[in-house]
Amino acid sequence: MKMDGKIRVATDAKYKELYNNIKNNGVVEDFHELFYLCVCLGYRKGKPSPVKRRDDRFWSSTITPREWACYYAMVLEQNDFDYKKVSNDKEVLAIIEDYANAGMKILIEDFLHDYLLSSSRDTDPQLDPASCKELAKQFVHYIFEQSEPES
Amino acid sequence: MILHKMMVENFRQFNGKQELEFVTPSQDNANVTVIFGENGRGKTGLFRAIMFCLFGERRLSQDGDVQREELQLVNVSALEASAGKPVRTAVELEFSHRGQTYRLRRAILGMQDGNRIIEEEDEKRLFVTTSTGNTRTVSATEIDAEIDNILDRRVKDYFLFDGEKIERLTRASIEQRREISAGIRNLLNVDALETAIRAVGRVAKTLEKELSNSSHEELSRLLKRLGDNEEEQSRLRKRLDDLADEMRRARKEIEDTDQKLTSFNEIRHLLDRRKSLEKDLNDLEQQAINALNEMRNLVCKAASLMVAPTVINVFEHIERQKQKGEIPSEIRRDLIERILEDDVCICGRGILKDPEAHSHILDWQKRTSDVTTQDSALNLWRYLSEVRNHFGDDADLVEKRLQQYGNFRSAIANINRSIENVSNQIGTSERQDATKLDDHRKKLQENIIALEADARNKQTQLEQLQQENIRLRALLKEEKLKVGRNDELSRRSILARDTQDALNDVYSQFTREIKNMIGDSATRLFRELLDKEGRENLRTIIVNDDYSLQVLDRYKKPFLANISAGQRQIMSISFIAALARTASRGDRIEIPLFMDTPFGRLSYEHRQNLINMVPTFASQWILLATDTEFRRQEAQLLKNSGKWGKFFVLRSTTDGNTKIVEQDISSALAILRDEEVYQ
Repeated sequence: MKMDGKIRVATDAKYKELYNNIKNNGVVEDFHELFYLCVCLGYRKGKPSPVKRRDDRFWSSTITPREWACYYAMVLEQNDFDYKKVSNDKEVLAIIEDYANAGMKILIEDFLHDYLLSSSRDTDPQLDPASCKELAKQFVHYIFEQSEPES
Repeated sequence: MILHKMMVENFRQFNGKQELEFVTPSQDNANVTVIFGENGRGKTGLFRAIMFCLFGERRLSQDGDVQREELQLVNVSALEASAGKPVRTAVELEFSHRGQTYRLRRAILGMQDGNRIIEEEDEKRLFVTTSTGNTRTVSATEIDAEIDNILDRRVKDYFLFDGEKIERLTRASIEQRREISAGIRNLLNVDALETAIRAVGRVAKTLEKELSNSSHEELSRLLKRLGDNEEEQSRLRKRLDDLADEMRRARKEIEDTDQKLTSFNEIRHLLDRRKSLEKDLNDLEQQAINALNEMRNLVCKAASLMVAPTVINVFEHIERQKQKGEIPSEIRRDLIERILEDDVCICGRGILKDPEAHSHILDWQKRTSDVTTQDSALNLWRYLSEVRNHFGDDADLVEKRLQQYGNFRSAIANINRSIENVSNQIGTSERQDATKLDDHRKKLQENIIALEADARNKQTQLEQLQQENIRLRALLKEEKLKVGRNDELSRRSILARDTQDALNDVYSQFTREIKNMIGDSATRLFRELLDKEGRENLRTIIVNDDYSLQVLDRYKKPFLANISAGQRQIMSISFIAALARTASRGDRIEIPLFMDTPFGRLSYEHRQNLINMVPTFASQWILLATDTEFRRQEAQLLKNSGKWGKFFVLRSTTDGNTKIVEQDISSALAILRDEEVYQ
C-alpha cells in the first residue's frame, strides 16, 4: 500500500483507440480517470476479466490517492481483508486491470454501443465523432444510474 | 501617451476640416471624452483616423475580410465636388508622451477614376517638441520607428473595445481561443526567439530529410510517418482557420441581412423579438457548452458512487479493527517474534516450559501485523474516510449538474420553438422580399451550425495528431540514438531537435508567464467591476492551456457555466483591459482607451462600476456611444464621477456627411433618452 508511482498500467490493446477517443472527446482529462471508471463499473457489475493483449496505457503516478484507496479496498474486500494481498502495488494493479477490462466490456455493451463506428465494434472499438456531441453528459448520467442501489 | 487634439480633413464621413479636442488628464481631474452618435455616423471612423495617422493603417482588426478597396478613406462628397481633381484627405494628431509633445500629420490624395477611387500616399510629417521648448522635425523614413517606440503597432487594437470583440470573447469558441492566443502572442514580443525556433526547425527538417534517404529502414519509416503527421496537422490548422473565417463571414452576413430586414417596418417588432430570443439562445447554448465541459470533473465522483458499499464496508472493517486495538496493535509484533525466537519471556522465564503461555503468545502473533502494514491500514482508513465523507455531496452535485444541464436543454428547446414561431410569422408576411431575405438568413444559420460541427471534428482530429506526433518523436529519438552512435548525420539531427525543444520550452515558459500575468490582471479588474453578488462568488479568471477563458468560484472550482450574460461581458472587458494594461507595461493603461458601445447586457450596478472604475485605471477614456447604450442614467453616473470633461455629438448633415459638434455636458442630459428598466 505504498501507492507506487513507477508501475505501467495496462489495458487490452484493442481499447487503445477507444481510450484516446473518450479522452479527446472531453469525457475525462486523463486515462487514469477512465480506467478508474471502468474499474468501479467492472467491480460493481461483474467479475474480473483477464486482459488478453496487455498494452501499457499510463503510469501509476497519475493515479490519485483516493483512487488507490478504492483499489486497495476492492482487493481487501475480495480477499477477506488479508492485508498481504495489498502489500505489493504491482500485484494490486494487476488484479485491478482485470476489473477495468471487465468494466470496459460492460461499458461498451450497455452504453457505448450506439456511439461506436459500426465498422469498429467487433475489433478495436472507436467512437463515431458524429454522435459524441453530448458524450460527457451521457457518460455521467449512465454512471450515476449505475450507482443506484441494486434492487 | 495622451491625446490632445485631432483634425480630420475629408476623412470618410467627415467633409472639410473638422477638429476635436480631447480631455487631457491634467484638466480638473477629468479624463473622459464622450463621442455620441448613431450607428454609421463615424464613431469608429475617428479611431480609424487615429490609427491611420499613427501607423498609416486603414484596417482595424474588426474589418475582417473587408477588401482594402472597400476601406476607402477619402470623403465621397469632397470627391464629387472636386470635378475630377485630386482631393486631399488628412489626419493630424497632437499628443504628448513622456514630457514631449508630438504633432503628426498623414495625408493621402484621392481621385475618382471612372468607377474606381484611387488613393495615393501624399505626405507624413512629425514634429517633436521637448519639455524645454525645442522642436525637431523627424525625417519621413524615421517616423514609423519613432511612433512604434511610443505604441507598438502589434498591440494597437487592444485599445479599442468594440461590442463585437467583447461578444466574441464571451463565446467559448475557436474564434475566442484564436483571439486570446493572438493577443498573448503579440504581447510576448519575442520575435528573435520565434525566428530562432523556425530556423532550427528548418535545419532539423533538412537533416531529417537527408536521414530519410539513408539505409536505416526503421528510421526512414518513422520520418515518413512524422512528415505525414505534420503535413496533416498543418492541413487541419489551415482548415480550422478557414472555418473560423467562414463562420465570421456568415455571422457578419446575418447582421447585414438583419439590417436590411429592419427596413420592413411592419415586421420590425418581430425581428427585434427574434433577435432578442437569439441572444438568449446564444447565452443558453454557451452555458450548456460550459456545463458540458465541466461534466468531466464529475466522472470520477460519479464513478466512486458505484463502489460506495465497498468503501463503507472496508472503512468499517478497519474501524472495528481500530476499536479492538488490532490497528494499531497494542502488542508489538517484533517483541513477540523475539520472545518466540529467544524462548524467553520479558520476565525471564522460558516460555516453552509453559504450554499455556506459549499458546497465548502464538495467538497474539496471529492477531498482530507488522508496523508497515498497520501504518498503511491507518492511511487507507483515512483516505476511505475522506471518500466516504464526500459521497453525499458528490451525489447531490452530480444530480444537480445533470438537472441543470437538462434545464438548459429544455430552455433551449423552448426558445427554439419561440424563434421558429416568430420566424413563421415573419415568413407569412405579405412582403416577398422580406421572406426571401429571411430564407437566406436561415440558410446562413444552418451553415454556421454545420461549420461549428466541422470545426469541432477537425479540432479533435488535430489533438489526436498532436499526441501521435509526441509519440512518434519519442520513437524517432530512440531510433536516432541507436543509429547515432556511428552516424554523424543522426547525431546532428538529434542535436537540432533537442535545441528546438529547448527553445520551445523557453517560449512556453514565456507564454505561461504572460498568461498568468494577464490572468492576474484580469482578475483584479474583474473583481473591481463585478457587482456585490458576483464579487462574493467569483474569484479568479484564468487563461486555460487551450487559450479559452475560465472563471473560478470561491472554492476554486470552474464556474463559467453558471455565470450570467452580464458577468460574462464583464469578464471579456476585464480580459481586454488586462491585455491593454500589460501592453502599456504598467498598472495603469497609459494609452487612450476607446470603448465602443461597451454596456450591452450589463446590469445597472455593472454599468455603474464600469463608469466609475475605467477612468481610474485608464489615463484617458474615450467613450464612443449610441443612444441605445448611453442614456440619461449613464450620463448622470458619469457626470457624478467628476471625470467627464467633454461631450461631442456626431450629427448627420443633409448631404449624408457627419459634423462634429461639441456640446456642454449639462446639455447631454437633455439630449439623451431616458430608460428606467435595465435588463
